Amino acid sequence: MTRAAAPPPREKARQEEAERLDAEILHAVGSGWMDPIDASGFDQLARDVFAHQFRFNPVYRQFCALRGVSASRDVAGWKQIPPVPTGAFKVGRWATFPEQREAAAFRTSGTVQRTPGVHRFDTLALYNAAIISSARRFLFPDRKRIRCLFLSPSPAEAPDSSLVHMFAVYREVFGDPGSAFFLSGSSSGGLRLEELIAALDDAEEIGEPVLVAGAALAFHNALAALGSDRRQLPAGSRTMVTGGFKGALRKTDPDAIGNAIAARLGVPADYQVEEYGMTELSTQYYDERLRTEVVEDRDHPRLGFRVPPWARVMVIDAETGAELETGGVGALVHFDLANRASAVAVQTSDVGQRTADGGVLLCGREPNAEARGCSLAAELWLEQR
Amino acid sequence: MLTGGRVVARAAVRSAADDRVAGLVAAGERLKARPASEIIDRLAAVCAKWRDDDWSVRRAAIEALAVHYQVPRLSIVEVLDAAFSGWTGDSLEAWVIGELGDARVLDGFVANDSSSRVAVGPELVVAVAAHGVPTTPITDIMSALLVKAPVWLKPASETDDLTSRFVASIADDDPELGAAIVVGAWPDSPGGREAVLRAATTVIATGREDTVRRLRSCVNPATHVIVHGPRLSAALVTREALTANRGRVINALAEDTAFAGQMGCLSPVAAFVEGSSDELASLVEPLLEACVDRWPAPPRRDASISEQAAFGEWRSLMDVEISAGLSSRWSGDLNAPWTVVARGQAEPPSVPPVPRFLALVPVDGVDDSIQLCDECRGLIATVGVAARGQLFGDIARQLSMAGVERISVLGAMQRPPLGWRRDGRPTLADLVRWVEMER
Repeated sequence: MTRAAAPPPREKARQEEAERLDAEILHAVGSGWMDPIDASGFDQLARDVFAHQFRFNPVYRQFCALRGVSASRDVAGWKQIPPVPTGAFKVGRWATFPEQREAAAFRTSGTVQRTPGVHRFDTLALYNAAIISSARRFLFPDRKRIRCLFLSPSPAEAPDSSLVHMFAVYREVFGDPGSAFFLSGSSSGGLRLEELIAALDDAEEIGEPVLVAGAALAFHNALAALGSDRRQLPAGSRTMVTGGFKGALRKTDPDAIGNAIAARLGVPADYQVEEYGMTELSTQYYDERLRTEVVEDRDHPRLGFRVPPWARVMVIDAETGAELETGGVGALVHFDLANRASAVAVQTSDVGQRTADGGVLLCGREPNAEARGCSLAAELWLEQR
Repeated sequence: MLTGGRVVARAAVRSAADDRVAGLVAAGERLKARPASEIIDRLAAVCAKWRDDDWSVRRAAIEALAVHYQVPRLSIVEVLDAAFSGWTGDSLEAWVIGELGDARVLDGFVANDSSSRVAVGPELVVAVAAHGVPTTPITDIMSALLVKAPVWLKPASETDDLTSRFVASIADDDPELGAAIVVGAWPDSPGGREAVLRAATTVIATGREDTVRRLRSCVNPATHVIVHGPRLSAALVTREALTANRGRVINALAEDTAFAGQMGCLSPVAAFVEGSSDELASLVEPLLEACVDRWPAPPRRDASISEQAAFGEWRSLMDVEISAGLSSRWSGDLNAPWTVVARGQAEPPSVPPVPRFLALVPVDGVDDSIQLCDECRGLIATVGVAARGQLFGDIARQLSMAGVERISVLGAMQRPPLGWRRDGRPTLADLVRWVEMER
């Protein structure tokens, strides 16, 4: 009889530290907006996660050294944590845990990416908790369950997709019987139109509201395939559109999609929720239009995506890295506690601004951006998630 | 009113845009009555003037473009000469014959084996130009005129005025030909853009997908829409070529890259180089210097916020690669006019974070380069190859199988012949409609 070898002391220490951090982060995520983690709590936990990543990711440690951070104690506040570019997820194996502890991995998609970015997880507990907490607040504030119609492949067909995983969590936690995925294959093509039409017809006939969720491009294709028929989905039906909001990478016009959803599916603008997420983050941001309509005591939703208490967004001057004041337009840096096993601070090339009440607005490409010929159009080929 | 069998304006109230379109179409009718050889001669004569260093119109254009792009006049001269030196009467005629078989088919029925056929140009071409090499829109105009079609060219916003100057020189030489061209923004009047697009029988669009999608929704379903782009180009440098003459390779690569400030899709954004990381790193500074020499644009300090953000993220990524032990080395931040980077790992060409940016990509051999191109199938316009002897032909054949549309010698990427198959398609033959007569 053999016994499993005990992990080496360093790995044991890593596991124990990870478990302790996860417990604290789960508490913060679970407390959500009701009893949100306060500023000092967030700061301490962010620095603890950073120290963990500094200790157990040697490449990140080296990267920090290039940024003048030679020890984790050099970071006096969460804003000083050196952010990792999203491209880092394509370099080597960006994780704090050994390969044999890997529980899941989500890959960025893209037509011309030789090496996709890979976000690796030793547990999906934080990720799933973040998905549920935000979705409950912004997408399902008025319902325990709803029939979900996903304009995406199923998890079996796209096991590497973070978006599809999120939908799978929706289905599991919030989905009524009849929830289904309507794309075949791993691409946005392959719409199973007849099944979608049947599901929409069914919803109209029964009078039970549904959620229709998908990437902007999938909505664009589905609405085109549905033709000019005008449906009236039951009151309380809602949509969740993700992607397609970033000007430089815009494939679809969000206003046009919103208008088409209202006209063709009969879902009013107040029930059309937009979501911002990316493979490299564990936390998603939503706008609060639906929540404002059905729960909040406000006439109008606050502008922009709402960042949950366990995350922060900093807007920086892309050239100097300095933080910009509220309203300043710059590059977005995300601080996401749920990214415990990868990178708590993630630098993107998304451009946006903070609103005075804490929202985040994404900005499109400036009209005076220097032209780069027809090659510029090539970026439209790149998937966002 | 019927012109050329097409209803140009049937509304009771005609707009100014309708009138301009009607004028263009009428000019096109007059064009169709002229022999193709005469049109070729007139275009060749105008292009010959544009090759004359002492011609005041050319000198004024060079001056204006140098101010517009903030580069020395010599950089502009190279751009003009690369185009106009190849636009001679012989090459224009060869272009027409190469695509249509016989220039006379544009004038009337020409007997074939069993029938006769004529090539009829569009009643009205609308060309929507994107930012790019200043001379590119001129080829759209010439291709329309060669098939006797009037053309409305909508230039990119805030672009240079070379096309307008060229058209003015045509009008000066041959007013009737000039009357068949409009270079300008969409008419200001309500519905002006729609009026122009509705009248078009062919639309040529170069630009982003969303632009093209919007265009399609504005034209008649029967309108022939020709879309160019998006495309990137790359270079491929073999070990032997680099070893045999390093200086020549650097010059040729810089020549292709820096041409017109890398504004066109024939400028490489990546160069696959067979060599060690140290060898690649040693090319960074000489290449940067050579690019700055050829197109010494101002620093990119006023890059857009999006570009700054993309560059900031890219710069961080370089630090990540260095931290991971990859030997990435780069030079030229936003205070410089150009950036050259020796990448630490092989990657297919991609859209650079900022303008004027060249990535040297390490490859172990030609096969790796072919594979990288294959991963971008449908995206690569041209690959400029530095290889000697038989190897060049072998590489070209493999690149053609990998979806590359054009292979040239490194250093000649920016000088395709007039009749090159842009996007792998013919140009003139794509514009005409063939009519057969059998009796």
